Amino acid sequence: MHSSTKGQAKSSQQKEVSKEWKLEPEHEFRFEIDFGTTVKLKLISGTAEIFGTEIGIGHEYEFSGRKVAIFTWHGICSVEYVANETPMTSYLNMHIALEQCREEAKSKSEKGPRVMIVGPEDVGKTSLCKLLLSYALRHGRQPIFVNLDSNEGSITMPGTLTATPVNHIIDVEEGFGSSATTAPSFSSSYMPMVFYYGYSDPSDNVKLYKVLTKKLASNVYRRLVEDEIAKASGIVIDTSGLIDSTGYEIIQHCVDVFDVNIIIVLGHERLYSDMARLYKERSGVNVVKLSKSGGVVDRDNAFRRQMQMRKIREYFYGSLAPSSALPIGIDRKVSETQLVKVEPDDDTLLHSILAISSANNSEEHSLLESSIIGSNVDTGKQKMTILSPSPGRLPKQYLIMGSYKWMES
Amino acid sequence: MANSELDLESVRQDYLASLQDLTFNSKPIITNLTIIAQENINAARSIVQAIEEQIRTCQPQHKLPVLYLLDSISKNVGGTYIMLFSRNLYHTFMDTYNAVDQATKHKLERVLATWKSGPTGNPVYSLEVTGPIEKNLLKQQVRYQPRGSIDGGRTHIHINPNFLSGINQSGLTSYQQTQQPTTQQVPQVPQPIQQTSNVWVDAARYNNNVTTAFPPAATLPRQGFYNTPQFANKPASPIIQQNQVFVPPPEQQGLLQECQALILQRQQYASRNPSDLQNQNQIGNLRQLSEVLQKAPLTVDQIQQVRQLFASFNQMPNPATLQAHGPPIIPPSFHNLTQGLGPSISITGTTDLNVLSTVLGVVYASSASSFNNSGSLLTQPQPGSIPVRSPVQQPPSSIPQPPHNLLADPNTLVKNLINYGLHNIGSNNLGNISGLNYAGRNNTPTPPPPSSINADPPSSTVKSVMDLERIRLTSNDIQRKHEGAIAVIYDALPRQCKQCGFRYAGDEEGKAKMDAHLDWHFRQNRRMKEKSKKAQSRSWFVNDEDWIHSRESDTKNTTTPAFFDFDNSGTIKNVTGSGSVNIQTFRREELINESTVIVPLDPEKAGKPCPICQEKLQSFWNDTDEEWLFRNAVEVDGIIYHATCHADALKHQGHAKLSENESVSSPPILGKRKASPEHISDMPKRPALVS
Repeated sequence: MHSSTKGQAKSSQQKEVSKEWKLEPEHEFRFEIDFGTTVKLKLISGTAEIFGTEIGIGHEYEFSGRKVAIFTWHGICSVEYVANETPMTSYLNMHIALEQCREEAKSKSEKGPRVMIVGPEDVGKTSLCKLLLSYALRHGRQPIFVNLDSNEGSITMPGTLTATPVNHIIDVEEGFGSSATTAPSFSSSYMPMVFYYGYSDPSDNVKLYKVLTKKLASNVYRRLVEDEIAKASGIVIDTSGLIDSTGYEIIQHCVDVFDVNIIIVLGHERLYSDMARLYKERSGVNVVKLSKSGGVVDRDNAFRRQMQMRKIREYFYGSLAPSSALPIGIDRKVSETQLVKVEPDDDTLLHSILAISSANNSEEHSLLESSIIGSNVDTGKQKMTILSPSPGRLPKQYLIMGSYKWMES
Repeated sequence: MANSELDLESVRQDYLASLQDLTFNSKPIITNLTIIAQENINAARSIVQAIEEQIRTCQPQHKLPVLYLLDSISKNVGGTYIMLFSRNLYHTFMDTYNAVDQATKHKLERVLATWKSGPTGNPVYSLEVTGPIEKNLLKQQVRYQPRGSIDGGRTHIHINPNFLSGINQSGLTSYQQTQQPTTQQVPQVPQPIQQTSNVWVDAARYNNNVTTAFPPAATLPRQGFYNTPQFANKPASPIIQQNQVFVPPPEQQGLLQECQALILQRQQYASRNPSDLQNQNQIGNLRQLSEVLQKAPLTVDQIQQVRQLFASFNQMPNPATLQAHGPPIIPPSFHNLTQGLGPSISITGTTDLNVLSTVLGVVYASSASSFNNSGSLLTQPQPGSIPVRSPVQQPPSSIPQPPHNLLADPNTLVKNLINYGLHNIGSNNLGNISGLNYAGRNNTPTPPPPSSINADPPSSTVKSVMDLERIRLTSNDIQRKHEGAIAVIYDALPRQCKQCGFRYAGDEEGKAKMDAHLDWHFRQNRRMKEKSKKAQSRSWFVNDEDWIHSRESDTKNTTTPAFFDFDNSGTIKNVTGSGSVNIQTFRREELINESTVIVPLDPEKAGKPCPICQEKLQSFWNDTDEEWLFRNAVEVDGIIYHATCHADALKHQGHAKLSENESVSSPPILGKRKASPEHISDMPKRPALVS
C-alpha cells in the first residue's frame, strides 16, 4: 500500500525548471498557476488523482490559470505546504455510500441517488462534484451532472444552466472538458443540454431561474426514463453559492424539481443546520455535512471574472488558443420572465452574448424554455456581425440576449 | 397539417404500446404487428419511430424480437419502411448488437446476412446501409475474439450424444436418404428441425404443411427466424433438441485427407526426431481424429473447428514443416474445400483465422439464403445439403453426457490436440482458435488466462462496494475511515489505461471495456492528427428532445456527437458519424432544410402558395450559391410544393402518379417495392423472416 508516489512539475515560463516531489499516503499536493503561465505535471510513480480523476503515469499534463490539488491515497508529493488534513476520507465515504445506493437502485430498477451540493462560494462544490462523478465513472456509472451555477460554465459558457450525461473520463487539464466541437481534444466532448439564463446569480432573476431549472429537471427525468444506466447512476447537482434567504428558496425549489434525496452541505455550519431543520420532517431527504478541503482557495472576483472570460473565449476559440480576453463587465438588469423584443441598436447589442433558441415560433413560453443552441457576440449597424462558434447559417432565428458581455482584445 | 401530426403521434403511441407485448420471439405477434404496419403505411414514419424507440429503450433481451419485427416489416411491406428504417438502421442495429449477448449476436448476424440477399435475391437493404454495419461487426469480431480465453475453449467442443448413439444405425446412410428428395421417410431421418430459434426453418413450415412429410432436402434451408411453437408441437415432426446438422461426406472427406496429410507430415518428422514426444502425441491424436472422421459425421461446427485446427497446424512454425518441407503445406483439399463455400474467399497461409471464420460464417448464412431462390449463385457441390452453420449451440449441460469414449468423442480429441499440439505456438494463435470457436457457446464467462491480467495485485478481496459495510449518511459514518474503501476505487480496478489513467475492472467485462477504451484513444489520436490542419468549429447544442433521446454509447463512438453540421453549401445535414445518437425526430427538419428550390424569376410563379397546404413558401438568401431559395420546397412538373407536404401527399396516394414524375424530394426507394394486401396474406409463404 505504501508505494510512494513521485510527481514532477515543470513550470515553463521562459526557462524550464523541473522539480520533483514525493508524497506520503493520503497527502495532497496543491499548486496555483497564474493565467499565462503553464505548468507541466508528470506522475513518475505511484497513484495520484486530481479531483477524483486518476492521472496516468508518465503522461504530461499541462495546467494554466488553475488551482489544482493532487491527491494520493497510496502516497504522493507536496510543495507549497503539505496538507495531511484532508477531508478526502469523508468524500470517499460519501462516494461509497452513493455507490451503495446506486447498486441498490439498479437491482430494484429504481432511480439512483439525486445529490445536490450546496454551500457558500469557494468551498469546493464543483470540485466535489467532479470527484463524485469521477469516482462514479470508475464503477461504470453514467451519472447526469446538472450545473445550476450560472456563474461558472463548467461545461459551456457562463450564464447557462446545463445538464450533461457524464460518460467518459473528466479531463484534468480542461477541468471539465467542454461541449462538442469538431476540434479534437484529448478527451472527447460532452453533450450538454443547455439553457441560457443570462445572469451570473440566481437572485438576479429568480422567476426565470426557477422556470428554467424546472424545465431542465423535467427533461432530465424524461431522459432517465429511457436511459437505464443513467437512471441507476443518479444525478449530481452543482449549485452556486446560495446562503441567503433567496438562496434557501432556490435550494428548496431545486430539491423539489429534481427530487433530490441527498443534500450535501459543504463547509457551512449554519446552512447545514438550517437544511437539516428544513428537511427533518421530510422523509427521503438526507442532509449530510462535509467539511471543505483546506486546499480550497478563495477566488477573488478578478479571478472569477477571468475564469468566466476564459470560458467564453474557450467556447468560441477552443482551449488551445491563448486566453487574452478582456473582461468588460456584466450589466445587471432585472426583468423577469417577460420577453422583451430587443431593438437591434448598437448600444444594447454590442458585445452581448446571444443565445440561439431552438424554438420554432415566437410564442413566448416556448422561447424561454428552449435550450440554447449556441452563443454569439455582436456588433451592429443595421447588419449584425456575429462571432459564431460554427460556420454557416444560424440554425434558428430567435436569439436571446442576457446580461453577459464579452469583447475580444 | 396539425391534425395529421396528432394522428401520427397517436399511431406512434398505439404502436409503441403494442410493442410492449413483443418480449419474446413470437410469430403471431410479429405477423400481427407487420400487418398493422402494412395497414398504416401512411403513418410509416411514426411506426418506424416507435419501433426504433422500442429497440432503443427496451431491455437487451427484448431487443431481438423487435428487430425481427423490423426485419419482417422490411421484407413483407418494404417500400417506405425500407427507406425509413435505412436512415437509422446502422444505429438501430449496432446498438442492439452491442447490447446483447453472444448468442443473440449470432442471430443478428444472420438477420443481417438475409438483408444482403433478400427473399427475391435482391438485397433488402442496399449495400450502403448494410456495408457499414458489416464492417463494424467484422471489426468487432476481429478485435474481441482473438482475446477470447483459452481455457474456456478447451472443454466445449461437444457432440450430440443422441446423435452419437445413433451413428451406427443411421450415420452416413441417413445422410444419403436426405439426398434423395423422393424417398425420404420423415421419422427415420434425423432431420434437423429445431426447436430453438436460431436455425433456418423451411418456409413451408410457416404454412404448417409439415404434417405431410419433410420437405425435400433440396429446399433446405430457407430463411426464417420465427420461433414456431405451433409447428414444433406437431406430433409428426421429429424434433431434435440439439441443433446438430449432419455434414455431407465430401466435406468430411476433405478433412480426412487433410488429416492424413498431416499425419504423414508428422510421421516424416518423427522418423527424423524420434525423441520428440510431443510430436508423437500429436500423431496419436491425429490418428484418432481421422478415425472419427471416417466413422462419424460431424456437425458443421465441429468441421469448422477441426479445419481451423488444421490451419493453425499449418501455420505454426512447426519443425516438421520447416525442416522437412520448407514452406508450410496446406493440403490442396483444404483450398478447394474452403473455396467451395463461397466465391469471395481465398485462403492463404497467413490468413487471419478470425477473419476467415467470420467470413465463413457470413457466407454460410448468405449462401443458405441466396441458394434458396435460385441455387445458381453458388457452386456448391451438394446444393441439396448445404451445411447450415449454427454457431450457437445449446449449452452442453442440457444434454446427458455420454459415457466417456475417447475414440468417438471429438471433444476430448480436440482438447488433446490443443493440449499437446498447439500448446507451444503462442497464445495468440491459440486465442484465435478458441476465441472464435467458442465465443457465444459458453454462457458463463470464462476466466481470463492468468497472463493477460496486468498489474493485478495479488491480494484484493474487495471487489464491489456492496462487499463493504454499509455507510449510512450520518456524520459518524461519513467521517470515519472504512476498511477497504480505497481498494474499491483502486485495487478492485486493476486495469489502468496508460494514456489517461482511467481504470477498469479485472474481469472480462472490464477487459472488453478497456479494449474499447484503448481503441477510442487510438481513434482520437488519429483524429487529432488528421484534423489539426483544418479549421475547427464548435457544434451547436442539441435541442431538448434530441438530448432526451440521444445516447452517447461511451467510447464506442468514433466521433464526438454533433447534431447540426453546416457544410459549405449552407444546408443542414445530420452528421452521421455521431455514433448512437438517434436523430429520428430530425427527419422532418431534414426535409425542410435540405430541400430547396431556387426562387423563380417570374414573380407570379414565385408568389404562388404551396398547392397542398395553400401556405406561402418561405424564401431566404443563400450566401454560398448567391441565390434566393425557397426553404422546404420541391419542384414537380413546374409546380413548387412544400417538400414536407409533397412527401406526405406521396405517402397518402400510395405511390401514385405523382411519385413517378417527381424529381427532387422523395427518396428513390419509394415505389420500388409495391406493398399490397396480398403480400401480407401470403406473407408466411415468402421466405420471410422474422426471425
